[in-house]
Parts: sequence; C-alpha cells; structure tokens
Amino acid sequence: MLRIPGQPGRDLCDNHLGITRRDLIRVGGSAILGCTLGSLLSLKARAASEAAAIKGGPGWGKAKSVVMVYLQGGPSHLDLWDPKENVPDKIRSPFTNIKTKIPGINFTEILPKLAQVNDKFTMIRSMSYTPNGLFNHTAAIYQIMTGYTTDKVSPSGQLEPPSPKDYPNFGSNIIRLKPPTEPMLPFVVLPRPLQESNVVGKGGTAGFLGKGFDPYTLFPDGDDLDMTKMNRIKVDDLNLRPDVYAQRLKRRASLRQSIEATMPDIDKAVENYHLDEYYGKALDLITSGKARDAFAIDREDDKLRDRYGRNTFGQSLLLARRLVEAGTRVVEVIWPKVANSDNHSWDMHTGLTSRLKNQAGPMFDQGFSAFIEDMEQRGLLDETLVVTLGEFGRSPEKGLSTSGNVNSADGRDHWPYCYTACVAGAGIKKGYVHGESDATGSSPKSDPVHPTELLATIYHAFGIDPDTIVYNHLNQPRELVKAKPNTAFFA
Amino acid sequence: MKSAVRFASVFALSAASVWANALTPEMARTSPPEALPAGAQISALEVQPQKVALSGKYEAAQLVITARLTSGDAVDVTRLAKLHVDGGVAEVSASGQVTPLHNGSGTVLIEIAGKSVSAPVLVADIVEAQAVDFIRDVNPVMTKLGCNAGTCHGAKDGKYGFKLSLRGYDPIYDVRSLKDDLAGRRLNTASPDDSLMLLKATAGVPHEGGQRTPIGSKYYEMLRSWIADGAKLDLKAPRVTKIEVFPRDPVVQQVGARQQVRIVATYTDGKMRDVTAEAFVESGNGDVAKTDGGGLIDTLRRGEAPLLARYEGNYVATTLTVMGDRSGFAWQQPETWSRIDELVASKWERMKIQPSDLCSDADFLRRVYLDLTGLPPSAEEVRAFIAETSPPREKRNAVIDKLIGSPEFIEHWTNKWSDMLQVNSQFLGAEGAKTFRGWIRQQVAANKPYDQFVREILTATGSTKDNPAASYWKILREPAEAMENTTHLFLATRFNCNKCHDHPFERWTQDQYYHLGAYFTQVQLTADPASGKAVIAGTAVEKARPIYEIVKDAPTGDMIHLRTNKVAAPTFPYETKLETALPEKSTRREQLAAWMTSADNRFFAASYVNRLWGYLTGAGIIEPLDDIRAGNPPTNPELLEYLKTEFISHGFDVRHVLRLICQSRTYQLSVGTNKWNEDDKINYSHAMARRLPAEVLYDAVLKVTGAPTRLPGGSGAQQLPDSALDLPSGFLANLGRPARESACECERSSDLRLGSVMALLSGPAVADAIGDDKNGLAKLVATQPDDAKLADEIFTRVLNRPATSTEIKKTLETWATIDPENTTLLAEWQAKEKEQAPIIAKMEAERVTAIDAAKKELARYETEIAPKVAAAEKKRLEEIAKADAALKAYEKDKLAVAQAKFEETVPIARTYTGWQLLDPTDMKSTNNISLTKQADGSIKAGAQTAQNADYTINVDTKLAGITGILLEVLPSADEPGFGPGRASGNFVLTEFTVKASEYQMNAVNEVDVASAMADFSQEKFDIKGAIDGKKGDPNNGWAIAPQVGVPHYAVFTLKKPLGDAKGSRLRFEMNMPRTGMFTIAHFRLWATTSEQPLTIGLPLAVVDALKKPAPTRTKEDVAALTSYWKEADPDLRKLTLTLGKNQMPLPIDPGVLDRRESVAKAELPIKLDAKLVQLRQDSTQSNAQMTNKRLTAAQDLTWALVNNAAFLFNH
Repeated sequence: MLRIPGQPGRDLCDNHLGITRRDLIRVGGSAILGCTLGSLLSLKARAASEAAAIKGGPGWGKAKSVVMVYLQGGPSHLDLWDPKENVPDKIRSPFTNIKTKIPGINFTEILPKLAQVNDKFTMIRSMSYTPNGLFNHTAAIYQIMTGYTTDKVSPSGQLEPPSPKDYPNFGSNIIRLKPPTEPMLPFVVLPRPLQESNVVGKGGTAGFLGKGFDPYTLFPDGDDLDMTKMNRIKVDDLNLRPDVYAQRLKRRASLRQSIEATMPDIDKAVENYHLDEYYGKALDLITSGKARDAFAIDREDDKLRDRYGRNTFGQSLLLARRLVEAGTRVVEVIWPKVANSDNHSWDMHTGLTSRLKNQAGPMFDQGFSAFIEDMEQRGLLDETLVVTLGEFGRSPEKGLSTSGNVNSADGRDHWPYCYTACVAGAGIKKGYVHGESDATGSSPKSDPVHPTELLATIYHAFGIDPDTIVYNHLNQPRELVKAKPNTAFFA
Repeated sequence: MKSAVRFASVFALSAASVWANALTPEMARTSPPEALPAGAQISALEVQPQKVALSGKYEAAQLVITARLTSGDAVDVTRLAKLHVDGGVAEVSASGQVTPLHNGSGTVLIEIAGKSVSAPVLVADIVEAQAVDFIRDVNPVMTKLGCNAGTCHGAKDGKYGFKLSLRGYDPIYDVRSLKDDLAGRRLNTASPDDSLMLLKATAGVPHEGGQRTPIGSKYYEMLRSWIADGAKLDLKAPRVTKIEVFPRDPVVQQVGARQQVRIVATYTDGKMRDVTAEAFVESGNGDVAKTDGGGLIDTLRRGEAPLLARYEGNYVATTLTVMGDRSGFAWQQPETWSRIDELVASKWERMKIQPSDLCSDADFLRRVYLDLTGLPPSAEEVRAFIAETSPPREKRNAVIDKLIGSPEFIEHWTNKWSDMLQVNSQFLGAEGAKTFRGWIRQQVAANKPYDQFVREILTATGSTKDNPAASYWKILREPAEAMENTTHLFLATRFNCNKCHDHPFERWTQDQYYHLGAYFTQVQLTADPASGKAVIAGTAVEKARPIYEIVKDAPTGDMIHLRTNKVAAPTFPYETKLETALPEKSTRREQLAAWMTSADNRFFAASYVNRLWGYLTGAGIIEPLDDIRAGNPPTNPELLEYLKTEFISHGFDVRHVLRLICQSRTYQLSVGTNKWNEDDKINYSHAMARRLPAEVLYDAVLKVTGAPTRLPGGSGAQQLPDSALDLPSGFLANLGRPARESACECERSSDLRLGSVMALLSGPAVADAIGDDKNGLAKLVATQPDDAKLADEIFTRVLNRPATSTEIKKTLETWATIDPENTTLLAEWQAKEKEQAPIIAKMEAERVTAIDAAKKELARYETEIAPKVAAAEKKRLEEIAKADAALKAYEKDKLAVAQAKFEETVPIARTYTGWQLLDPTDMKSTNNISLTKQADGSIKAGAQTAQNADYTINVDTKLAGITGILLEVLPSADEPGFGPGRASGNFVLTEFTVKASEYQMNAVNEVDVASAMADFSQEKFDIKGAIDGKKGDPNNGWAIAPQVGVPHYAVFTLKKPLGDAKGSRLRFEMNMPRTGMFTIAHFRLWATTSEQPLTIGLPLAVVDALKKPAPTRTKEDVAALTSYWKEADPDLRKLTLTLGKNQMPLPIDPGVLDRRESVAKAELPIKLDAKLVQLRQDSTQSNAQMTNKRLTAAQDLTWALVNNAAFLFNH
C-alpha cells in the first residue's frame, strides 16, 4: 500500500553535457546552457531585471512545506465561492447567498463553515486558461500538476497512461531541488490517485526525473464511497515487524557495524554509496516511529477528528497536517473520487443541486475549514503553503454542453475560462480576494491568473526560480514552468 | 610586450582581444596566478603554429607555447612567456592571441626564463570594407554569443517570439527569421546600428539574455558589416569539413595548471583557419578539468578528461591527462597473464599507476560466480576451492570453464538479454513474454554467434507465437522508434536528438536520421488468428492488440523527412563492407541487418565487447556502456580494439570473450587499493565494488538463507519471464530492476537510496527469507552445536569466506547480550505495567461506569417511550386486521366475479409462449446497490445509495434456440408507491442490452433485438426507446407512469435464435441513468424458444383450461385458473400489497438507536498507553525467542551480514 520508491532511476541516458544539472541548480538561473559563456555576467545583468526582482521579492522562500488540496472533477465556482446575483435563471445557482467574514464577499449556503474562516486565506476569483483544444480532466490535471500540456491525446481528450517521459509533478521537482532536511517521507499523495476513467495517475509521477522522486502513495483499500477507509491505512514498510522489535533491530545494527569495521577495503570501495548514512537514516525512521506515528490518526482527539469530518476527505486533510508537522515537504490530498464520476465527485453534469448539497459540498466545507483553522492554531500556516483548486470551474449556463458531455438542466459543464482557487499560508495575504469574475462568472474581469502562474508561485514560495532548468529524458533543457510567479498574493 | 589596455583603447579592430578578456574576468580573478613548477628548468621552447598567417581583419590565431623541462615534462607557458610582434603588422595578447593590424609580414617573439623562440607572421587581404559572410563569419559569432543555444533562441519554440535553428544548422531558416519576421525590424540595412538584432545583443533595449557583446566590439562590427552589406546569404560559401585540436592528448603535470588548445578548421575550398576564439571546447569530466567554453582549460584534480571541441557542426575529441604530483612513483612491471594485462599495464605505466595485488581465492570465487551465473557459491564450494592445492591460475581457469555454459549461466545471461529486448507483458502479454524469453534462452544456451543472433532478430518474420524473435517488431512498432532503439541497442549510438535538428553534440545529421529510418518503414504487422480473443489491453490512446501478430516485409512504406517533407531514401549513415553480397531482391530489413552486423561495422562488435567488459569490471572502456560518441572516447582504445578483434576472429563467440576477460589477471585483482591507484576508476588497476543487480540480490538472499522463493511462479528472480512480475512489496523494482520500457542500460539502477535501504533493513523480502522457519539457518542451528563454528558457517554461507577470529569474537560478544537484553526488556515492561496499573484500573472503572450509565439511559428511554411504542404497535395490528379483513372480504365476494370476467375477455393473443425463468449466475449494480435473488426467481434491489444505477445480470442457460426475452417488473410492499420503480413507483429503462457468449464465458457479443413490446408504456417513453442504442440519455427509454404499483411486462424478440445444447452465457445490461432514482426495484427475467411472433402469454395450464368450455373443465383446470387469477387480479394484488405494507415492522425509534450506539461506544475497550502495548508485544516476542536463542542469534548474524557491503556488492 505504501510504496517507498526506491531508485532515483537515472533521469538521463545521456549525461555528457559539460555542465551538470547540479551546477545549473547552484547557479540557479535560466539561459545557462549554451549561454555558458559569460553566464556569470549575464546573471549579474539579470539582477536588475524584472525576473530577478521577483526572486527574493515578497514570499520568496517562505514555504517549507506545501499542501495541495486538489479537487479533481472541477468544482462549480458559481455554486460555491463566486455566486452571482441578478442573473438569468439558467445561470443562477440553486443556492442562496450567504455573507462571509469579508464584507462584500459572498459564498453560497453550501459553504457556511468556510465563510467563517475566509479571513485566513486568499481567494483567486480569476483563474483562467484557454485549453489547447481539449476540455477533459486529464489534460487539465496534467497542466496544473506539471506546468506543461502534452500533445499525445485520444480523440476524447484523454491522455495516455503515465510514462517515464512525462514532465514531473511539481512535488517531485520541489523535493529534488529542496530535499527534506530530516529523515521523513518527502512527498506523499493520498488518499487516491489522480484519475479520469481508466487513466490513472497521469501527472502524478516524477516522470523523467526518475522513480526516486516519485511520491509515496498512500491509497487505502476500499471503494471511493467507503468513508472509513482512512482508518485502514497500512504502513508495513515503516513498521517494525513484531519479531524484530526495536531492541533486536538495534542489536542487529550494532553487529552489522562491528563486522563492517573488519573490512576496511570494501568499506572504502563503496564509500560513494554513503551506506552508513542511509542505514542510519532508515534505522532512525523506523525505530523512532516518526513516520509511523504521523500516520496514526487514531491518536488524534476524537473531537478534532469529528471536526474534520469522519470521511475520507476530512481524515486525509488531518493526515496531511500530521505529515507536515513531521517534516514532509509536499502533501497532495486528492479529492477522493474519480474525476469524471458521479456521487460525491465535482464533475456535476447532472444532479448538481443534490450532489452539492448532500455530498461534495458539506464534505469539503467541513474538512477544509477545519484544516485551515487547525493549521493556523498550530502555527503551521507560517511556513506551509496551502493551495486548493480543481482543474476548472463549471459553465455559467446550466444544461449547456461545452465539452461534448451531456448536461441536464441541473448540471454544468467544464469551464476553464474562469474559476476560483484558494491559497493560504507561507506569507500569503489573509482575507484577500485577487481578481474578479464578470457578471456571469464567465471570464475574469481583472487580473487573470493562469494555472501555470499559480504553479510558478508555488516554486517561488519555496525559493525556487520557476525558470530553473531541468533536463528531460532526451537531455533537452526545460524550465520548471514557463510562467512568472504572482507575488500579489503575498503580504 | 604591450599591455592589453593599450590596444583596447587605440585600435577598434583589436576589440576581439578585449572581448576575449571581458568574458572571463571572474575566471581570471578566481584562478591563482600561474607560475612554472618550483625548480623547473626549461631545456627547450616550442610554439604552435610555427607560422602565423592571417587573412582579413577579423581573423585571429591562438598561440600555444610549450616548454620542455629538464625533467622531461612539457608545460604550457603560453600565458607566462613574454610575447611581442616585431614589424607592427599584428598584435599579440597576454593570452597568446595574435590579431592583425596591417598587411605585411613580421615576427612574433617569445621569451621565457632566458629561452626564446619565434614564428613568422604574415598578414594579408585587409581591406577597408571587409566582406562578412553569413555562413563563414556571422553564424559562428551568433553561436559563440549563445543566441542560437538550446536554452535561448535555438529552443524548440524559440524565445520571446524569436527562433533560430539550434546552433545554426539551418542558415536559410535563420536568415529568414532575422530578415523577414517581425516586419523586418530585426535588421535595418539602411541604419545598421538601429537593427533590433544589434540593440538586443548589446542590451541597448531590454534583453532577457542580457548584454552579449558591447557596441564596437569585433563581433559587433562583424554583425554590423553583414547587415550593412544587405544581410545576404551565400549558400555556396565554403563550409567546414573538419576541425582539429592541438596539441593532441595533452598531459598537464600539475593540478591547477592550465592548458591552452588551438582549434583549426578546414574548409571545402581547402583553406584552413584558426577558429579557437569561436569554437567551443568542453570537458567530459568536470571533476578533472573545466573550461569556460573556450580553449583554455583549468585542471582540478588528477585524472583524465575527454575534451570535445565543436565548431559549425564539426566535432573533434582529445583526452587531457592531469598527472598531478607523482613524486616517489617508480614503475614496477606487474605480472601479466594475457594480452589484456599487457594493454592495461601500458596505460598504468603512462598514467603512473601501480595496480593492486591479485585477489584472494575466496574473493575470486565469489566474484566470478556472481558475474557469470548471478549466484554466489555455496559454502561447500568455497571450502573446496580454498582447499584445492593446484596453482591459482590453473584452478581459477578451471572454475571459469565450469561456470561458462552452466544452467545458472544461461539463466543469468538470458535475463540480461530479456532486459535489452524489453521482454515485458505490457507489450507482449504474459504468454508472449514467456515465449520470447524462451527463445532468448535457447540462443544463450546454444551460444549462438552474436551477429547471427542479431540478424535473426532484425530480419524475423512470421507469427510472434512461432518465431518469438519477431516480437522485437511487435514491441517497437513505429519505424522511428524501432530505428532509434536498434541503433542504441546494437551500435550503442544515439539517434534521437537528430530527429528534429542536427545532433547538437554529435556529428549525426537530421538527414541521416530519416535515411536510416527508411529501413524500418516496410515492416507490417497483422493479427495472428492463433491469438483467438486474447488481447493486450490498450489505453485511451492506443487500441487493444492481439496477443500474437504476424510480422512481414511489405513492398511499400516510406519515411518522410520532417524538414523537407519528402520521401527519404534508405541509405546508411556510414558504409561498411559486406562479407557476402546480398541477393538482388533483399528486403530493407535484410539490407539493414547485413550492414549492421558486418564485421566491418565500426560500432557493432565494439559496442558489444565494451558491454561485456563493463559488466565484468564495473566500468566500460567507453562509459556509459551504450553511448559511443565523438566526445566520449574510449579510455583504452587499444584494449577495445583487441577485444573487438578477438570477438570477430572467433566468429562473434560471446563465451570466448567472457573467458578471455575472466582469465586475465586484470579481472582478478583485489578490491583493496594502494597509494598509487586509490583514485583510479577507469583503468582497472583494482577491482571495483559493484552493487548486486536486484534479481541477483534476491536470488542470493534465497541461496544464502536457504529460504524458498516467494515470487510468482515459484522461480528465482532471474528466471522471471516478465518485468511485470515482482514480490508483493515491489522489492525488485525498488532495488532498481529495469522496467524494460527501453533498451537503455540506464534503466537499471544500482544505487542505494533510502527506499532501497529500507527494503533491505526492514522490508519483507529479506526478513521473510531470514525468518522462514524452514530455511537453511534453522537446520544449521540444529546440526551445529558449537557457537563459534556456527558463526563461521554463517559467514561462509553469506559472505562466501570463512570468518576471521576477530569476527567470531565480535559475533559471540553480541550473542551474549541476548540474555541480559531480554532481562532488561522484561524489567522495563514490568515497571511500565506497574506504572500503568492504577491508570488502567481507573480507566476500566470509568468504562464500567460509562457502560452502566449508557445502558441505564437506554432502559430509561425505552420505558419512557414504551406507551408510545405500544400505541403504535396497537395501531399497526389494527391496520393489519383491517387490511386482512378487506382482503378476505374481497376474496370471498368479488374474486370469483373478476375471474369469470377475465375468462370471458382474455385476449386471444395471450396464448402460451413457453416462458422459462432465467436463473441469474451473478448480478451487479453500479453505485454499490445490492441485487438479491428472491425465492420466486425475481431480483430485488437493495438500499438506494445513488441517484441512478446500471444493472448487469449474467445468466448461464442450456436453452437452445432462444427466440425472445421477457422482462417482468414487479411491485413490492416495501417500495414507495409499491414500485416497480423507485421514483414514486416509476422508472426509466433507457437501454436494455443483451449480450451472449459461450457457457460460463464472459459475454461480449451484443445480440440483435428485432423488436420490443410492452403491456404498457408511458407517453413519450415507449418501450422502443429501450432498444434504440442510445445509452445515457435520461429522457429516452421505457417508463410506466401513471400505472405504478402493478406489474408490467416487456417482450424483446431476437433477430436470430440464440444458444445451443452446449449452453450459453447471457448478459443483460439495464441502463438507467436518469437521476431521481428512476431505477427498477424488483424484476424477473424469462426466455423462450417459442415461435415468433412472441406475446406475453399465459401459463400452459391456464391456456389449456381456457380452451375448454367451462363445464368441461377438470378439477385441475379450475385449480390452475384460480391459482393463476389469484396472482393476476389487480385489485387483489393491491389489497395484498397493502396488507404486506402494514405487516412491516415498526421502525425503531431514532432515540433508541442513538442510545444503543452510545452503549456500543462505551463498551469499546480502553485505549492503552502506546508504549505499554509495545512493551507487552516486544517482551512476548523476546521471551519466545529465548526458547531458541541460538536461532535468534543466527538470524541476527545473517541479517547483519546480508546488510553488509561485503554481501550487497560484488567485489
């Protein structure tokens, strides 16, 4: 269940370039390779440029961890956090508007709890992009997770399964450029993979960076509708086996070391493998029980568990908080339902009213508001960036087909042109609303934000220049993401 | 010597010198000042070139000045010597660059430490308006400035709207891009200084890339002249045909000293020019040497660095050696056993390396076993080999002979080739993968000559089932993909970057890519009927494929060149001599195979012996093993050549080469190092530790512990037919086994990271083998009573050598701690128990109190509501009585009348149709709705969890010649509105699909339904909508409102009779997508073999009875009619349903439910202190292990040894 990815599969088959990737990271700029000559000078010249002004600007390097709460399926901005008044019936949300902590900013009645904590985060009401001919989930997921679009798609807009040639998920890039400083799982994805139909996990791997940077996946057994499955997390690899209890393992480890000392030649021959360092870390991780304890959500107070909601989503958020506390860099909480499915998924082509009211809506409202509050109370928001969004919003007009799907009069189709995202923590402004959508929520009225810009902002928050070059499987230089961070979100 | 400052300020023409300096101020500052080695005495001074000839004002020449020292060493003194040009025709910079001033001749004078040398300088062709050619002059400058680099405008999509071809391989494109795009604003021929090209390059306007060159520099002037001359492109301008580097293979004695190289280009018109300033020189080993991209190399530590120079698509490589301080080194010729040893030793002598000694017998035995068979030797084999008294060489050769060709050898090398040929069920299916591996195994077992092996793969035709070699073409389906893989696999060269542009680091061109690719375009794949229905499941993008396919050569099929859009003719990137001419009508693949496997092919044999050498020593002569490139020269070319010649002259006999390598003394050196070889990693002066490959590691763990395999199929890891198979914990993948998705050697990872270390340290693969109570350790403990001997035996098993006395002592010391540790643990546990006892007691007491309170509250509440419940129950019983009375009254008074009316009016069409009940094999619904079979053969849906649902019912039937299907939807007492649907009794059956196949098989073939009729259809929801093929539409299909609460029937007549005596599987799919619970709650399925047209019909007995006039009916006839009508009478049914509804038990009061839950919660066991739980568990384990302390100890030692580098590595 818990896969510890092993090898940092060498990412390149050709590692013969003059400059190593490590060099590039150290210098930290783009335009290095091929511009090697005078690179130092050009870096100096860039110091005055706009890009460099952002680097080191507001929010730079404030984040030590990031939790992405990914609402796969595409939640309806109009029925949640960007409701419209005085619009025709076919646009109007079936729900009434309620006031929030921020004067003049309304939510719908679906988010009563979140309305009480929206003074703690920034809301971007002008997320927007024009898809590259594709309207389906996977293409959009791939874009937000990797910063790139891919050209190999089926006629229905679905993608191929994950491939080692894929662009890496941003989490893989982050843990590669900013490895965790303590022995802890660096990157965890839970409680289910990204998925549309039978395309599972696209955009959720380290791709060409190699398996060593893949996330640790924690997908408990059981159906998506099984709300108790987070109680069945198994972390066998992190557990001590009953017959090899801590004391015995330590005895073994000390015997191992004393025998090792008798073979200095071999010890020297393998010094580059840093065996002792890894054995030390692994032993520490297992005997300290730190990682295992992080997964023990049953040690949380019952009242707090109730507050998050006794369902897969709520308990996953609680686990995300525990992981961040234990030192995990990147946690991705994936909305626990296949992107294009029914029931409590966000993909509401039909039955929007009851699905939002009875299924997805309350689960999200309860879990996410509890998470924000809990994170803040523990001071974790100071150095943790929280990002919440889906792959798109939903069409302002109900019953209209924008993606080729059939939509009932009580359903909305995919709408990437305008939707809402939330960001919090790591120096993000509190109670701020960035951008504005037009009268019908169809397109941004001001300050449009492309999802790749949001991704660039995540890198920026970690003190990573989004222009940093990584090399793909063919050794071709590629930016982490071709976008500039948006520092307006930072206080 | 004149200062650089002077000529920068005085001569604009000499700006190139300023430029060269301006680029590297950081470098100049950070490098320590150069000086001759302490105490060095110069015996002679040399300068290259010996004559300097410069043509036109933009040319320059780089001097390289070498001092010969009395010690015999040569030192680059270019930047130390005093330089001066006599005659005023040219200038020379401090770094040794000569730039022209005036036409005429002069001399460059060089002086250092009292020695001097000179060279004539001839300057010609300087004119006022010096012509600048795009191809010869401008492109190299743009390349040097970085404009067309891969990260700048040479990127795939260019940068900021401006794109150039990568490194200027396409001048037509580049000139167009400069001249025509952006409305020509990039070039302004009338006012060249206002050209955007120059403004950007000088940062006169904001430029993301910063300032590339200042105004007035030589490069600026050159670009400006070209623009002023009209920005012309002369495609006939001479091109570079080759470049050379001087000095070749330079040796730098001192770490930190610098070396200047010159690059000279030869053009198609025969002219030669010094292009050092614009050429790029890069180091292939950044640890040893680095450059700033130009020809001046900094040395960082002792070692060898390949240097790759490139200029205008031409490449040349040379190797720089940094000798470092070797004072005190005295070469001693080591013993040599073979030609390999001689060739390796001559490199050692040159590099001043003293090799390690021969390794011990035990080390050799383990090494050669692991290398040749992928398994370590057994303890018995180790002991026997050490005891053997014949001379080392003799007994070692005997082992090599024994192992080569052994069954384990065959499995090991089969596994290696299965990686390279991507034996993976993802491409071939599990069966196909097994078959292909079987074929490879046969070839390895037969020692098939390598060239023949490759030819058989490359030309394979026929079904992949009968000729598994053809699987290669099933895996690599696309011509481009097959070409890239084939060159990579069999020639170790990379043809992929040159798909879109000329290769940026290699000489391979884009044209060559497509011409070579043309050999792969006529392969045709068709389904092999032998596949049956077995397919390899596709993806959203790729279709599913038959498991076996037939490969053949089609007469047509072409490769289209990406850039020209024209057909590329099949030609090879370089020629090879063929031993035997190909027949006239050979296929493209035959031509390809002949070319590729020719002994004359410079890469074919060489690449394979290089792999073999690398597998056995840990480093290829070319490394990476599968990356032969100009910039990646062999570290010992003579050795590579020797192995290649041996391979070819022995008919491509792989075993011969393996034997040669293993028998060499070089292979048998110790892993320990000495002062003179400890930093050597590429010259084989000592053995290198190599982490065991994942499969070898697992098989070795099994062998040394004597535990059974836990792999699927019960085989060892190296015998697995398919890379999809692994232990449940993913051990093999975790330890770096290749996924077999490409032929790259880099797929296999031999690193150790946190994940892999955790798998070894606590993962189940190793732990299960050590802990298995039936493994070899348990037996060993039982049979060896002496502790020291037991320890020694475990060492010999795991590390394949006897233990030393120190090791035995340390082991016994650790074993002695087991007892006291147990005592401590128990004490700790007891203390914890004592500490926790009052807490536990308190919690238990609280728990009892809480349970008591909750139970009391439940009882109280039950008492409280008892009257209410009693009243409700009373009312319920009254209702039942009332309904029962109504029912009885109806039966008594009205049933007979209704029946008589039915008998009179029954329609003639409703005669016997012979419907037979279908008994479902399995039933499934989406959204987790349960479907349950009832006693009467009907199917009832369980609690509704979703807005809609699709049902799938499978039935196995032996009915032959089925002509129709009857769907009966039934009311039920417990449904709102009595059903049969769940939306107030209604439903929408959007589509009813019938599929069929053989008995008990998966039904996949859709059955054609000719027509459908129903006893009743709602307006606009006619039964015909249920067979119109439109799934998913909520507004289409069969519905029955307002006639809810009564049964309905739909008859589906099949186009063709279905099924035979062997039986068939029917699959019914009921699509009900309408939200609002428009699903069927209760239904039954029937089939008939009656003749068409079909009707809903009546039971046979009823039909028979009706046919007779009433008075003539028998008692049985009457009973049949009565019993039928009792079922069918609608009024009676309503009364029965009402009674049934009233009879349903009262719902339990929610307050009671809540309180019951509280009781259950209170009854949960108390949460014990985590530490206490752990201590209880650990103590129990520890105590249990005390009963077999020696086994515990043996397991601990085995673990400690398995997790040791001496086991994890081959050394």
